[in-house]
Amino acid sequence: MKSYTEQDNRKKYMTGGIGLILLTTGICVSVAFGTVSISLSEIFGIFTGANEGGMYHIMMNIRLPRIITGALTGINLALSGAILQSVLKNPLADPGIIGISAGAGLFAMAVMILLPSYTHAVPPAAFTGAILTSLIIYLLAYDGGAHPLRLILAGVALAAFLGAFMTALMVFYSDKVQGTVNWMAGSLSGRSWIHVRMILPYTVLGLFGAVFGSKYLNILMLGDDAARGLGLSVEKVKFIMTILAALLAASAVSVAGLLGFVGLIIPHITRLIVGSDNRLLIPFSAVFGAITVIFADTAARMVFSPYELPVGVVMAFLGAPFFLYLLKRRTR
Amino acid sequence: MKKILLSLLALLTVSTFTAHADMTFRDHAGASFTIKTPLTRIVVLNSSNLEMFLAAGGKPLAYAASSTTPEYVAKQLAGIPSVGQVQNPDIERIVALQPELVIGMNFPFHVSMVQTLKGAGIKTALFSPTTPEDVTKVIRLYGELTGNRTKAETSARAIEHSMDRVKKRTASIKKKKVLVLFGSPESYSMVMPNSYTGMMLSAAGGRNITEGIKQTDEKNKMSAGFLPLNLEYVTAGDPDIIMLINHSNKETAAAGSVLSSSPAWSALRAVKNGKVYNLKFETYGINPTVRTGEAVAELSQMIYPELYK
Repeated sequence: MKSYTEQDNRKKYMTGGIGLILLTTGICVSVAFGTVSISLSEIFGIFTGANEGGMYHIMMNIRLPRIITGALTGINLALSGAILQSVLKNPLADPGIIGISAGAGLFAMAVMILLPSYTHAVPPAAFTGAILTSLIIYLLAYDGGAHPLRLILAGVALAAFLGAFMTALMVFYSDKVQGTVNWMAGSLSGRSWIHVRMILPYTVLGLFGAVFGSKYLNILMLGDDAARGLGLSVEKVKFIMTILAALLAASAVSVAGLLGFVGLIIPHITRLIVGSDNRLLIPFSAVFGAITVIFADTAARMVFSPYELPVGVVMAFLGAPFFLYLLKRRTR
Repeated sequence: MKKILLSLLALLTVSTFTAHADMTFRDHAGASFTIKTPLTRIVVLNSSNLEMFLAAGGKPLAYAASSTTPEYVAKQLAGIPSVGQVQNPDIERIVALQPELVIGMNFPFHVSMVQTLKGAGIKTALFSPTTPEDVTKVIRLYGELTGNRTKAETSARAIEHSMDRVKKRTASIKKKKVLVLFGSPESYSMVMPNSYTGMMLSAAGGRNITEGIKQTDEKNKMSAGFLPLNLEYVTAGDPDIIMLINHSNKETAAAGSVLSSSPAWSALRAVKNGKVYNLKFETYGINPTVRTGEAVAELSQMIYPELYK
């Protein structure tokens, strides 16, 4: 028993160490590479305040805030996915299931197409749409308690319902769809400190909430009856954690658009590495979420430079095969 | 007197002869047509073709409605029956009208209708002009199809003259660097030189800062003509002027405020100097066809106000 915990601990520290190394490497690589090449000495100059020219602007107002926005988006989406997969006891759960993508997508698209003079209102609109939709789904599914299966079915139904409106918008305004595609695919292009300020409070709140709530999530995993038997107020925990997940995902979607992949796959990848104890799963998901988005966005910027791909495309393209590989290795 | 009568007779035979002439042309989907002109029963399925068709002196038998139809075109369409939306025209209604020719756009919704209409014995020609030269060619073609050669020639000439004037004005000046953005701040795309708007920009004498970027897809010019925004590239390119095409036709007073409120944009020279302008979607977000000449002149005046004082 003792050797098992020791091995467990060693694995934990190793994964943590590798995670931190990857995160640092990711940040360094994405800071160092971009469409405009900035030499190491220039970078040094920028961060020590010696260089305040055009390169300073590119680094401090374009590249750096974008990297930070990406990292925070990754953290939020991965946390949201990890929480939902525990609350709903369903491996396929992701922020999309509680209506985040559908609600945010419809609201954002409606603003971009129907109220083009108010495009600066896209982030708050997406946020409102996401939160509103997830509340409606929760209400629809609530019947003396929010049963996971009912939540999922209500989510699927409402997503289909809102999806119909989105399709209708695309058909009737097909000439204006071009202006929305980047957002729909998930993109960090043009993100700056405004977006960092928008998402950061939710990341802080989410990290504290999720880490604090992880032990309750563990109890929830035993099943509602068992959890109740252990003295947990199941409905309260479920509701609070779902709202937290919704806030996390909504804030991420409102700054980066519909990035679907992170919330579903990252918690899984993390689970395959560290196991399903939420006390480990939650913080590691956050780290791996940040790493994934940073690397994917660097690739999105660099692969066809100066042609920028939406980060969502890169993420699905690289991440899905990696996930399948992990799955295959695990089942063998 | 005899001479006059004779020449009148000759003129009559010529005109009757042309009236029943077989005309051969090729549409933008590559299909070849041989048709007896002039045609009187033509259904036009999209806004830009309608505009060119009307400018060529044609009167459509019916048309498909779109939210992008300019107001002046909509006025001329009063009293003419509609066959539904551009993206989804009512095929039954088109067949019932028994047109001699249907004119559509070379895009999936209309391409998929060609075979169906052929089954009903109706020819469909698809035109999607991707350059100003295409536009004048198509206008002249519509003039020949409908027997309004003179009217079409006048319309086409007007475009060419307007563009020539701008070309002469801007021939020997130092070109300003321009960035045209399409979409919304959360999802901007850069307008490339090979898009229609990009071509209008270069015709207006502006230098597109994206001209250094290679475009791989030369075939599908209209849609290949936008690239997702790359802010680092833009910053390095340092444009003199930034132009925004959003989806609204309204002139918002403070075009620059969207950009100057973002630290990623506010350090750009064009933003600092207040050289950020809105472009109308109706003219620059879609192909303005007949209005290309005016659009180029307007664009040139926005870029070089000092030249047109």
